[in-house]
Amino acid sequence: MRRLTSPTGRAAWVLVAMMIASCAGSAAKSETAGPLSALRHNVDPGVGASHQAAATLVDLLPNAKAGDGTALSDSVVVGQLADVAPGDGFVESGEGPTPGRPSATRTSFSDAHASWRTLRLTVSVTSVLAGPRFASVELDWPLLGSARQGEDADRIGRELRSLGRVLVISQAVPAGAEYAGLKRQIPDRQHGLGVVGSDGALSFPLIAGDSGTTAAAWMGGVDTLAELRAAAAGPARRRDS
Amino acid sequence: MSMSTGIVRRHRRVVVAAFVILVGAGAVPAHASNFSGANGGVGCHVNVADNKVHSIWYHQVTAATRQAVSWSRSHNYDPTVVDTVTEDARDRLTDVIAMDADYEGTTCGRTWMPRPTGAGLIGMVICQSLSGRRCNQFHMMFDNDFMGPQPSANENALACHELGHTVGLMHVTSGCLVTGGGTSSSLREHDRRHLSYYQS
Repeated sequence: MRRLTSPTGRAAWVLVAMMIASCAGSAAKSETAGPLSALRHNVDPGVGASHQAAATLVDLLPNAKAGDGTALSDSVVVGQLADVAPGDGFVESGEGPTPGRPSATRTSFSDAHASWRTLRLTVSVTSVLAGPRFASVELDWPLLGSARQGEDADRIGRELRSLGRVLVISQAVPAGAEYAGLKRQIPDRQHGLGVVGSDGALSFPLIAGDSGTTAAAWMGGVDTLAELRAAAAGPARRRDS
Repeated sequence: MSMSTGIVRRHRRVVVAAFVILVGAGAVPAHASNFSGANGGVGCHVNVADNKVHSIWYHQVTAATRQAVSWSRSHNYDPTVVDTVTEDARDRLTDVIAMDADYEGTTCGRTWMPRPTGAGLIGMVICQSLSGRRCNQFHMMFDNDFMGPQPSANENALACHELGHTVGLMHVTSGCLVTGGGTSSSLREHDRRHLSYYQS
């Protein structure tokens, strides 16, 4: 009894209890870190990469042209994710791909040596805002690492399905990347995959707080599907970024 | 020593140990960290360098890339505990092989920017070989659709970003390691503190 009633002993056990509670809290936090946490991590998973991207939603649309007449996307659709299936695996050489010399060797999705893999998403299109009149769109969605030591494909697939009605801004894979069997992709996945609410409100849940921007800044006042449809249907305009 | 005195001393040791652990944990805000730590992996994930002397070999790079990397070495990294040096030839101990090209295709699931007015990957670091759990040799790639056409300030920012990945720094919300890239060509104080990892 002395150990429990001693002031020093009580302080010790209080501190130990705090430590246990602190550890338990951390564990619980990581397990329930948000419904889209794996997907948000997936779009910036600690890769040593940097990229150039559009600054605003309207600059990513097919009718936003640079000085040389090129756009950053060629299709804007709304639809439902109908299927998520394993795609391919790739082993990186680390040399960087140049014309006629790919950087990665294609292998199977389940190859334990894969540097990265793809999920093949099929979006059943319900509305075309710009670009070809697709009935469905197939997209390649990259995952880092192998099936054994990489990102959790099942969880990311589940989180993608949970998005519901989605807005997809995509482009055909540029020449030179076709060696990988990739056909169509979302060039900037944080900003090119949105969610359309039942009231038509747009949101971009993959824009995480650590991306250096905010969803509101990205949307730039284009808050609804109707506003985006009008922006996408407008005449070609010069993009700012 | 009586039994009661021994118990009190044992409690004191528990108090001290618990205090040290709590204070120690508080001193390292792991949740705010953008330092990869040694992860024992080659490939696309960011890993730390295997020592503080960071030797760089330029593999037929353009003047724009060489100047930007050189600028970032002297302005961003040499003032820290990291010592960058250049090599005349590569060998298995070279830490960073800097290269550039008009890359076209996909690396680590990211597609390179197809033209200067496009969007996509403009820089990438891949760990090629390990020394223990740390990276022995990195390949650091720059796209010539960016290096050259861009103002030198932006090229310096990209060099700061990619060199940061070769010493284990990961993406953050400001400074040159900002997610995606950006226009800042400075390390944050927080980033510099992470580089004290190489002190020992």
